[in-house]
Amino acid sequence: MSARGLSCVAEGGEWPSADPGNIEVTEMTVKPSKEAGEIMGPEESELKAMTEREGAANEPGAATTAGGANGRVAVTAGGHEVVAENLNAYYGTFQAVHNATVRFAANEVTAIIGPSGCGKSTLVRCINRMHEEIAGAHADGSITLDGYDIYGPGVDVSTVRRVIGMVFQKANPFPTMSVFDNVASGLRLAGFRRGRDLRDRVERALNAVGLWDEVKDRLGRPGIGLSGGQQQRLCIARTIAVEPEVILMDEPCSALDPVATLKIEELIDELKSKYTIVIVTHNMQQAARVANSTLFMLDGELVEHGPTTEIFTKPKDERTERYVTGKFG
Amino acid sequence: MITTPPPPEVSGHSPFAVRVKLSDRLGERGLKVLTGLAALVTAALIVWIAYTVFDRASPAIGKFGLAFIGHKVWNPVVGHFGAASFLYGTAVSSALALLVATPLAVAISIYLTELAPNFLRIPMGILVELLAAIPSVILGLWGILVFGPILGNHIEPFLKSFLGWLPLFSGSPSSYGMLNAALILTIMILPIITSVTREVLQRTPTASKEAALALGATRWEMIRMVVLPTARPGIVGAVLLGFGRGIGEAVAVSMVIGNQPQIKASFFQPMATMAGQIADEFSSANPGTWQSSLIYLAAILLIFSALANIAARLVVRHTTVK
Amino acid sequence: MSTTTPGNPLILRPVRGARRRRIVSRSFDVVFTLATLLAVAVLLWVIVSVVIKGASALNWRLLTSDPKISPFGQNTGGIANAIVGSAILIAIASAIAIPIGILVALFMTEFASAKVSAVERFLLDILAGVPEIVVGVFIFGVLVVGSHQSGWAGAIALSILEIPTVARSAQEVLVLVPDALREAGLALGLRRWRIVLRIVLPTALGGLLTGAVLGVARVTGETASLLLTTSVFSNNGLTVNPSQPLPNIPVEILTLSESPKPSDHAQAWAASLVLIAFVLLLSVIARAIHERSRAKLRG
Repeated sequence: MSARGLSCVAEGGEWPSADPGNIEVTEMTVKPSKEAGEIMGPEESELKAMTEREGAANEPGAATTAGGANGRVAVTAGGHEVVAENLNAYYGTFQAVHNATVRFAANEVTAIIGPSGCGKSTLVRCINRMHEEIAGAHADGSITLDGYDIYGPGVDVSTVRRVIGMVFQKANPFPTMSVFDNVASGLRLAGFRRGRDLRDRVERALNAVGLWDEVKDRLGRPGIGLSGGQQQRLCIARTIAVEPEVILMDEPCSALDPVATLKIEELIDELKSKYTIVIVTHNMQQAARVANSTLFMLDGELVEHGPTTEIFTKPKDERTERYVTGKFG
Repeated sequence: MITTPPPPEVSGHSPFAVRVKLSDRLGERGLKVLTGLAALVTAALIVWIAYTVFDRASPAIGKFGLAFIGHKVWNPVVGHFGAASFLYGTAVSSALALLVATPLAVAISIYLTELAPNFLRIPMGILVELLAAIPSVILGLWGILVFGPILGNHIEPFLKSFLGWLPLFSGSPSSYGMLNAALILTIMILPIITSVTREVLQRTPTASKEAALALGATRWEMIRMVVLPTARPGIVGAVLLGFGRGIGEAVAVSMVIGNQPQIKASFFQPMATMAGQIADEFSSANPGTWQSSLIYLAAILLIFSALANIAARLVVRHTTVK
Repeated sequence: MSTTTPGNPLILRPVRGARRRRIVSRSFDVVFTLATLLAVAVLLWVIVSVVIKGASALNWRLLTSDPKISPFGQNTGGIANAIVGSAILIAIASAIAIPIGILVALFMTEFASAKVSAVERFLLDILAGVPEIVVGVFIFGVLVVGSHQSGWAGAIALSILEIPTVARSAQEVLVLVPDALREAGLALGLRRWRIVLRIVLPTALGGLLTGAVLGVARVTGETASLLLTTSVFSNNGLTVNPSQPLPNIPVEILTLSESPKPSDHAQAWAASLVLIAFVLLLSVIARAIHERSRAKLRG
């Protein structure tokens, strides 16, 4: 999946609405091509062209492509990784995250576990810059996505948030919108207006979360009319409709029954082939089921990070061991 | 509310028998009766007010009937009375005031709930509420002596030069008139619309706001997508309350509107409202048809204001469980 | 994956669409801020007008002497009679409205069922929504017709306007008194009325005071209902008998405003200054008590 959102100039200019003259295209990442029918369908058919209409030659290192897909320059193939370095997060004077350094590997699911109040939600909310929405909250350190500092000067926050999506603990479909409008909401923000294309993307997103068959006859009904599990899948559909690169999940199943939870865990497993996923969970069994690697946090500190099986069977840190064996938390 | 068990009966035999003091019984009953009476008084007042107003208006109602509502002439000298010009004046002044006040109120509420830094929120909120504390007679005085001249000498000519082709801005600018009254009314209804809207906006679920932000919405987009749609019924209620307040305003309006019972298109013209006319003429109206016609106006005013109030409560209650 | 600024690979640059959206959002921020500043500006404009124009005409004589109309129709005296008259009207009105308001609130919180309480609250809202001029007409019809204007009529009209304010405020604070306190009283064997008098009322005292002050502030500036009940005066001297119409500040301001003479206008401003100072002071006091008592109840 590629340089969408941030840099693509599509012929016929839909996603995103972009003024070609202002875009400097220097690098693009192309994900390994996908099966047809998936949301991030072959860019070949979606991206019409990468063109710079004016001043193409002036930009140093500009990649000029025209027409079909072949001309694209692939710089980094593969998924998207998030790296946090020396991240500190505060609520006013209270420090919730201390010096966190961690690499969330591309196309993997990383679980963050730890007792309540250990800062896992805070850490995750720093990744899509939601942390700073709270009055008095701030963070320092660096978080990079594929090497690009999302806290850098001149970075547009809403772009970061579109590229790094979030699913919340309690499903929060927009109460005044229908099922369709909910899924389409992010797309509309991004400038998608054309009915046909919009409908296709909504359908693909709902398909990807396994909701399409359940809601296809009631797309116009309010989003909050669905069951809890369906609402959460609706929110996931809403998130992936805008084709992010990373999905953050903050205890997405904690308000759901086991059946719904299982459905979502299966979904996570499918999604990781396209997205990098970070999931906060207080449920260690869940971490064991879905996550490639697990991160244990305690009192704002990253205690240990390793492959999930290791964390649960042979933790290196004594605190980790105490937690996973249930001695506290 | 706490229910108490009935007082145990006095009996000399049971070990749990309690002698209830007479003073206690009296006190209990007394307080119940007193509070119940007070509540009854307030309920009765409404009925009594409606009854008295309609009763005193009945000579005019009997004489003119419902045609009163459509009759444009108000001439005490010859005894022709009709409410149409006042209905028009009330409707236009209130509508204009709402047109200006509502967007302002929503904007101010958004500022106070979403934008203002914490340390400013409370002071600014207080300042806006203080607008409601200004007595209407003082606003009227200001309207006559300060605002009116500016309106008549600067603002209205300015409007006329650009929009004079519209009948709304035709005629000669004046310091009195519909525009002055409408703007003064705007000042008076702004606080109540703002305060109700603020309450409603504050109730927007944070989860929805976060969902919008997490999708990459800018603050305005979040407000447009989540905050305003959720608040819409409440804002309607706020507008209704503002409307009810506006149509009932008598003194400030009568001071600046010119009190001419006439229907004119231009905002520069003097006109009259129901409440304003009552305030203006009542003391000079001798008992008889004139006075009872004025009270007929009061009766119509009472109906509309009660309807607006009831509608507002229904709408607000429907959406927010208090 | 993104556009980068030439020479600095670590900076994400937004695409044009995002920039436009951000500009739009910031523009709205400005609009909302300006709207608030506009409202504050108007408030300040009015208050400053009153202060400036009123202060120049305000003097001790104005406040303490009764009107003395010169042969030219000019008042070389003061407005003391109106001040006294207003004070009497407000005092009587509050003496009626505050107890009734508190009793109504007690009814709603201590004795009525939830449904009855909701109905009563609704009725209070309706009562509060009756326009002041209509209340004036009502009292006129009941007390003035067949008789004459009087301070009693004016005061009762004011009290009708004051009751809903006091009741609403009182109810809001009585509801905040924790049930645990009432239960403690019951456990001690106290009858309900004693619980109310000894426990509930004292706990809610701050809030009740707020309600009372707010009620007074509400009727201090009230003009419309007084116009019909206590506005025609036979003499210009000091009147303290409520069975006669009592001169009062709001009606005085209104009368002065209708005159063409600038000296009358100046007096109107001065009277307005007194009035607005009093009302604003009451509002501030009410708010201060309110915040303190709320903090106390929240614990």
